[in-house]
Formats: sequence, structure tokens, C-alpha cells
Amino acid sequence: MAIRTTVDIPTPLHDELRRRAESSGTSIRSLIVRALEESYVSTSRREPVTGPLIAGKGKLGPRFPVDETPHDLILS
Amino acid sequence: MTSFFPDVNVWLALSVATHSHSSAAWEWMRTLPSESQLLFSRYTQLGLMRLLTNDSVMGEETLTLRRAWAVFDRWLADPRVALYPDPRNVDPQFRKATMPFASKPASKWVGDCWVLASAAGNLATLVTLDKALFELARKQGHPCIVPA
Repeated sequence: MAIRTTVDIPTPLHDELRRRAESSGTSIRSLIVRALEESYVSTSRREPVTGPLIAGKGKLGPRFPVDETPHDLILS
Repeated sequence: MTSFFPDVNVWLALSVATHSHSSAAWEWMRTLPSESQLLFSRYTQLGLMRLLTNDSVMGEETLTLRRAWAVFDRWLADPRVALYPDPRNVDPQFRKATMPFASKPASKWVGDCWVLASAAGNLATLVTLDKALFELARKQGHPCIVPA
């Protein structure tokens, strides 16, 4: 269920929203809903990652990358 | 708000402590303003998951697919991180990015150019550990940084 509401948005902000919606293939509504969720709903459940998630010291494989992303392993 | 688009190897460096660039990637991450946003695309999502579950990459630290999902989900639980759909205008960006390689069998560059196009389409700064990709982005006038 959704509730329709009307909000006055400053023109520059609306222009920016429209630009971002067009470039990311989404809608202004989706951008606004996501921003509201992130600001007022999800914050208490969302915690920043503070360090590497895989902390093991095991030996890595021979194809583990250094500088370049190994696209051949992703696309193969 | 500044948006950043880490390439797959940057997500790997942020995820795996023994990556040779993990410290540099985290030093960069810790300097970001709190309102910064880090974007996953579908390609960087599946790229990270493919590498984390590949034993020729991860060796003794190879993850199951369940654990790879847990890593990705933990990233998405970070308020700075979001999964964005591929931008609507990504195809022209992709073609532009590949133009310097038009006469070459440049398979490696196809992936890199897609990453660059995705960053450009999302109006995000590309973050990469690959100096050649950094140079390509710079030549094409797109903001790019190398954590160091």
C-alpha cells in the first residue's frame, strides 16, 4: 500500500533528481523513496563495514589478482 | 554527495585482508566523507562473487556460494553501499570507452571499458587499482582514482 503525498522540492534539487533518474534508468519516485528509507528507516539496521570481511590467512590461489581485474575469470 | 564506483578488484581488496592492496583500499575507504556512496553494478556484484568462489583465485580461502552471498549482503548492509541498475545511457558510454581499441583484439579491455562506462553512466568516480584503466579514464575525461 502506498500513500500519495505532495511535496514542494527546490527546482535545482528536482533537476538533479531528474538527471540522476535518467542516467541510472530509474524513477524520481524510486530515488526519493530510497533516500527516505536510508535516512529514516534503515539507518538503525545498517552498520558500516569497518574492515576486510575475509580475514583468514590461508594461501591464495595462483590467479589471485594484484592490480588488474581478471575479467576472463568473470566472463568465462 | 559523491558517488564512487569501485571496480571488481577494489571490492576484492576491500573484502580480502590478504589482498596486496587491502591496506591501501581501506586507507582510502576510511578517508571518505560519511555521505559518500559506493556503488555496485550487476557486473561488479557477480564479478566479486565469481572471484570469491573460484579456487584458482581464492585458494585456501575459497568461499561457498552461501558465504559469497553473505559477503555481498554485508556490503549492502553498509549505509554507504548500494546496488545500482545499469544506467540507461550505458551503451554509448561503452562504445566510447572501447574506441581506442577498435582495431585490436582487446578482450581484456572489454571488461574494463564496461566498468568505465558504468561509472560514467552513474556519474560516479571510478576507483581502480589498475593504472592502465586509470590512464584510459583520464584520457576520456572521466574522474578516476587509484587508492594508494
